[in-house]
Amino acid sequence: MDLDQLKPEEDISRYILNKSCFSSQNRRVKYSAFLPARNGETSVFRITGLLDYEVWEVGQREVAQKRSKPLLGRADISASHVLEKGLKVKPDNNPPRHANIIGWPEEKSEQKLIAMELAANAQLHLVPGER
Amino acid sequence: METLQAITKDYLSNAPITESVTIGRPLEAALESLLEVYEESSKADWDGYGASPVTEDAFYKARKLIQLLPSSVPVPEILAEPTGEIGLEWYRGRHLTFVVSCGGGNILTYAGIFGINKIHGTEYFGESIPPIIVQNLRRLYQWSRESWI
Repeated sequence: MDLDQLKPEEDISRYILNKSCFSSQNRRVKYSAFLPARNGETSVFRITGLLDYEVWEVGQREVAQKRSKPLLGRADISASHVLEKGLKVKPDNNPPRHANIIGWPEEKSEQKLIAMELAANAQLHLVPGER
Repeated sequence: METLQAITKDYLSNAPITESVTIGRPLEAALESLLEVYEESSKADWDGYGASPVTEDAFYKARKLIQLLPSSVPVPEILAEPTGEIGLEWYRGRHLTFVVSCGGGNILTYAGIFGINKIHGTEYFGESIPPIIVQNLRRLYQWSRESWI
């Protein structure tokens, strides 16, 4: 996979470290999973081409272990859904396959709405054993 | 932590919203959930992505908002946001959801998806819930198939 150029049909994943970001009861991603951090970016990984266990390995190695927090799940979404909202997915490959969702509007309420729409189009995957 | 203990003690020792008689257990459940979210999110980087801690002010604003909710409104799901705000989410489906968030100060931010209709905005939160918040909650729960365009 060309890690320099993002294709709209690629899948990206937001690794989840906090239970505020999903509902296990309804098996859904909550909007808070996609809200940007204080730097205005949402950290994601490009997962197209990876097997499922490899996707989990990336989350454990590059996200959970580096932050000393348990990996609870992940929210998978097609990059096209992100791009449709006027956002951009900017790869930086630091670490490999890492990217950031950028271009969020300044207004918090508008950020919230976009995050809700992204969550509506995301697939929740829980870490095996996390139910 | 002392402040958190004080908050917890205050919550547990006071009759929780005596005017909640008409709501009862659901309101208590919401307030307990709020306290749990606050406890889990009151430290910096609580989400692992550099989130701001939820402040005491945000906690009290959210508690006040919950206490003022009309008794006909179902209990929301309560969560923390990376900015340190507390979000109240009413979810009826992927395209039928409404969120109100409280941070510090007297500002509420809200967003809603009602089929193909979408809204978002900011409102002042004084002594009562802004009418537009109540209107959209009613809109959410009065939504019917006929409303889909």
